Amino acid sequence: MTAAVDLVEAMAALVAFLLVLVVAARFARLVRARQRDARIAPLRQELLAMIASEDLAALEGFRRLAPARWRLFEPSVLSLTAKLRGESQRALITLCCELGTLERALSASRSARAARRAVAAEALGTIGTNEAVTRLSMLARDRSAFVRAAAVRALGRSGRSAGVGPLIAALEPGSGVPHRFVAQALLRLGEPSAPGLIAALGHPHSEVRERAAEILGLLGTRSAVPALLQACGSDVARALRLHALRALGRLGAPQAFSVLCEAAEHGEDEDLRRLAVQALGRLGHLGAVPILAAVVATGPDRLAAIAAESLVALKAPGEAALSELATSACGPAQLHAKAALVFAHRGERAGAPAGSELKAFS
Amino acid sequence: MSLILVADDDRDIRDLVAFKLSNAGHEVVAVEDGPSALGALADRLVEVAILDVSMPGMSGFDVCRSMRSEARTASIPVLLLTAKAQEADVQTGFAYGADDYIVKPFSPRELLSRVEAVLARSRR
Repeated sequence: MTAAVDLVEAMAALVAFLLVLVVAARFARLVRARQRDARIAPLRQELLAMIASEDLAALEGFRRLAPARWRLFEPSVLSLTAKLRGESQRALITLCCELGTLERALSASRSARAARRAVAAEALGTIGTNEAVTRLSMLARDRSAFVRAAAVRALGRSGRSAGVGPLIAALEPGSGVPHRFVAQALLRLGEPSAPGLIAALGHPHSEVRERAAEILGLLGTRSAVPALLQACGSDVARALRLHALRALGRLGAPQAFSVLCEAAEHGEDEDLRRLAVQALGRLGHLGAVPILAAVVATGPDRLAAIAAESLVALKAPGEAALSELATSACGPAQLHAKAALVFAHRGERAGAPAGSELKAFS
Repeated sequence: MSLILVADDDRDIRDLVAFKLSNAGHEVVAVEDGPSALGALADRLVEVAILDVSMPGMSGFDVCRSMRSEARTASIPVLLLTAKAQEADVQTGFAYGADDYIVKPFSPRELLSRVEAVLARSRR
């Protein structure tokens, strides 16, 4: 009994000791960070003033900093550089490269410690040179999930089209990177990722094809429309067709009109028809009015309600079709038409403002 | 000289925007979250509000909506700072009543031009 009490007491003492140790370590880190911030504060103010006044020639002064002082200041410079675009960003990247930041980041990216590799990945993404992107492509396959995620984010930030291939590879199942991160990185790269994503619609892995279609829709790339239309073909797997239809709806491409009408009228399941019906509302093509009115009149309950909302989006001709249904139809079709008209006249287009779908990747 | 509100939880962005606008002769009130932005708006009547979309607790969209619902702040031009360059996000901003948007990372020169364009429009 006494031995058990002793053991419990010893364990409690150990836990208390470890707790004190953790708190002390955190406090020490905080103090060190504050000291570092205080030491670099004048340099940071000076740099901010230079950026604000666009006096980039004054950056010359930083080239004369003692190496130890520059290394202390370096994370702050990189952090500011990552927030900038244009001339100031280019000037700061040049300064960093001249003062050895790239070499240090490349070296740290080979460290045994995952945390150091992840920090190096962030720095490489900010610098964004060819060498940095090549190293990031390797870090996107790192053994640590933390480093892989950092590398993927950094590839997106690099702004280099060379980052697209590794990012698409990271969409493959088993890459160990959440696809949300990869999608955000590709979206951040913007237009340069479009050709790679269009090519990925023919990728051997179905998951990559579907994600590529989805990202193309969010990217808003009109050049992707022919490839997405092809991905809506009846010989294509249903999941890809769903993603391609959603993407076409987001893009609002007029060329998609007949494909969307076909899917709205004869889609093999309600999900496909729903996406097509929503997309027709966004497209704004008045030829969709009779098709949407027919869906309100004869479609399943939920689909009919969405078709009524799409008719509202088509303004006067859509509302005229709804008024006709509200007087001549009966049962649920009449109710949906009346409800949609009430919303239309209150100016309360159903739901949140457009764009809420992007939250899937936020 | 105009009084401009900047709300962003990222200290770097806040400082970059504040330095740029101050350098151009404007007075800047910089805060780090949505509730502080509303507090600053209650204290002083600013001419433009620059709001980050993704702030903890209260987003730039929420602050914008709240501004539009108050008669005192309804007409203050709002510029949204967004890290998401996508069309849908921009549409959301406009639906909440924003006047313009700036995509992060940003060019300080472009930021100043946009702010001055919004100021010129609001004075017309």
